[in-house]
Amino acid sequence: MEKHGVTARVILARKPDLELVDKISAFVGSRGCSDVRYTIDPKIIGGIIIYIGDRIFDGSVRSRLENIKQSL
Amino acid sequence: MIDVNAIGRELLKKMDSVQDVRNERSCGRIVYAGDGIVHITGLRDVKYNELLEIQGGYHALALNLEKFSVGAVLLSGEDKVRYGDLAYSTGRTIQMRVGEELLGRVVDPLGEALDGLAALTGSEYRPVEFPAPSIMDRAKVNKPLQTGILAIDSMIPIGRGQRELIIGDRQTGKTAIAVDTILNQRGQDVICIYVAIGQKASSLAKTVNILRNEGALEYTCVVSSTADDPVPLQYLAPYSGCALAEYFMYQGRDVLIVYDDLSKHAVAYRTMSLLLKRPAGREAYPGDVFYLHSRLLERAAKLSEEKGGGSITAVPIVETLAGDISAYIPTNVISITDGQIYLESELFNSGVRPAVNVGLSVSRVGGSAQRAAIRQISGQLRVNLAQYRELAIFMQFGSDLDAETAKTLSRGAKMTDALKQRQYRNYSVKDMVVLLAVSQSELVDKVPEKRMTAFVEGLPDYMRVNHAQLLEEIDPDSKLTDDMRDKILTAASEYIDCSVGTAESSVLAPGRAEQPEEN
Amino acid sequence: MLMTLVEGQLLATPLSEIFEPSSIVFHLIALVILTVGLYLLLFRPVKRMIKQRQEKIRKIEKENADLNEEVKEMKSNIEHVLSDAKKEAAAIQENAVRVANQKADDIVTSARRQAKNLVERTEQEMEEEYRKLQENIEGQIADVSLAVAQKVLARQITPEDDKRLIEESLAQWSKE
Repeated sequence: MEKHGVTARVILARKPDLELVDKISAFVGSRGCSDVRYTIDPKIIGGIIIYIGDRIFDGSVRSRLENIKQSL
Repeated sequence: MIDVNAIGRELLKKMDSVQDVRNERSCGRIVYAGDGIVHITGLRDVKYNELLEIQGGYHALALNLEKFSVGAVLLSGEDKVRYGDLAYSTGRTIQMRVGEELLGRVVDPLGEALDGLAALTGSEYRPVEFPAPSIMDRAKVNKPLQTGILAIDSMIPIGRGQRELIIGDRQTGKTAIAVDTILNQRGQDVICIYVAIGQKASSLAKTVNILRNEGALEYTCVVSSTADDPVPLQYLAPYSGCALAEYFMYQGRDVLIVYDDLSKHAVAYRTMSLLLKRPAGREAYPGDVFYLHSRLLERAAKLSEEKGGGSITAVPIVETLAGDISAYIPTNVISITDGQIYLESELFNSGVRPAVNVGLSVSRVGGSAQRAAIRQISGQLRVNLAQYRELAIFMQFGSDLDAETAKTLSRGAKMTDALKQRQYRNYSVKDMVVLLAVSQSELVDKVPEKRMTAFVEGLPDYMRVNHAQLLEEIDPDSKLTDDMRDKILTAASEYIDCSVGTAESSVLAPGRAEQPEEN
Repeated sequence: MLMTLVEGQLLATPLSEIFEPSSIVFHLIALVILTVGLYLLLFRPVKRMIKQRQEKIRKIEKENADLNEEVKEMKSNIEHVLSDAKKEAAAIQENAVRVANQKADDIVTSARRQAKNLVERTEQEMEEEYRKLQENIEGQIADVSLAVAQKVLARQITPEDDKRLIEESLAQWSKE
């Protein structure tokens, strides 16, 4: 799978500080992405969602809650 | 009554087991949803037949892997899934719950209970699709599976590990034969699985009730997909049933699985295929409809002793339209199975029940598994019946018959009567030996034609009550000796004397009997 | 002719002539002839007839006796057959009763089994109802608590918390 040149989409609940941006870039870079696009979506309550190609890394509070709801 | 503390504990326990953060997953977005079909973009590493999870906790089955999208059928949430929802791959195929606890239960094709009884708690699962046993793992069919139906066990014997098709028009008693066969497995150490595919819920309820009332549900599992279930579930039902059967087979047990019926299964698959826009072939079925059934029925097998010696006997049912066995699905399934039991509505309506057409029905492997005594005395049966039928057709228009012909005709008619059998009235092997021996002897000439049915029905009871000793002596696994046959015939003629014989004389007697009363 | 001759003579001749010896002889002869003629013409056939009748009657009598005998024999025969039939009937009845008893037993056991099944099933269904109710309550509780959690979390998560969460997630994913 060609990952170079793929843009990673990152969704956050609130604006990240510089330190966080660095960490996110580093993580995304390790997955073969150079470009990062940020979206702010308060609906996810907290945490982070990263899309790289058709991979999804879902660490949002909303998905955690949904997760709990489904297993109850 | 309701334990609040228990609820709290339960909730906390579940909370603990929840995984905190989901791992990296492959996902795609739904770009089309309708008729239970979704198209998903992304999901590039999805595999064929993989289970997909859709946002909201629904599931789908990936069936079409195309260049830019994945076509999948929804197993649940047909009306809840929307455009733009995320779909995740799970890396799993569909699994069917298996285990002893499923016996006596009615479950859906994913192994969830449908009968309103205790929740299933077992954690054993088997993939719904599973490769058939290899050539080396198989053994010859050598044990009979008694259906308890005289016409079948004598002329179309079924062996454990065989695949025997029941084919016929609607309302010809196809399900009745299958249900009778299941009922007859009581105490035979055979596990039964009844797979209902696209049936009316009412008729399925009736079948389940019969099984329950006759005490057959203890060793039976019903895998149900009714006509209102999503089409993919109807498509999955036989494979799930087979997965459950395999679980028992690989433990060395004998399993009987009834697929009722495969024509509806083919229709369900056709629906899915057409909606997935696969090219349609003959009768609008997709190209792989043969493979659909062959891969299912190929999983029925008799395992070799090294593999435990278990077996799956598959009894698929196929419904024909107006007796047309040359339609697409019937010819396919006939060519896959090891024989067929052909039921005819004409026979059914003329009172021959089970309405087995002996001429068109065959069993290709069951003969070697037939009990020795039965094989010995039923050897001539098929030929005799064929001769009778030929003669009967030939003589239909002739009015005056010579004595010999009349006798052959009457014997043939009585033979046909002897093969009639009410539903739920199964014969044991010994009953069959008696009935076959008697109905092919000269004794039947003494029974008037009209009373033959009653005679045949009463004989096993009479033997059981009055000649238990004799029944005990019959050994179905060795040839019937002449001595034994004579004993059976003597006992039967006794029964003729006291049932049919007196009835006959009482018809003739009144003229004589009245005299002394007058004096 | 003879009479007219005699009457003519009677009228014509005096009384003395009537007792004439020759006429008496004539009379005797006529009587003999009459008797013989009558005997031959009338008595013999009548006698024969009577004899035949007698024979017939005797025959009928004999037949009657024979018939009586036969009837007697038949009667005894019938009695025999009847008793045989009664015996047979008894045997058949016994058989029938045995078969019927067996059937009755079968039916009763199957009815018992059905009743037992029904009771068991109902019990199971009741249990299941309880379980479902419990599950329902659990679901309600879970829904409410999650809704509360969502509300509270939306307000309570501080940027620091959020950052920590994100870092944790990233760290976990990097490990894989």
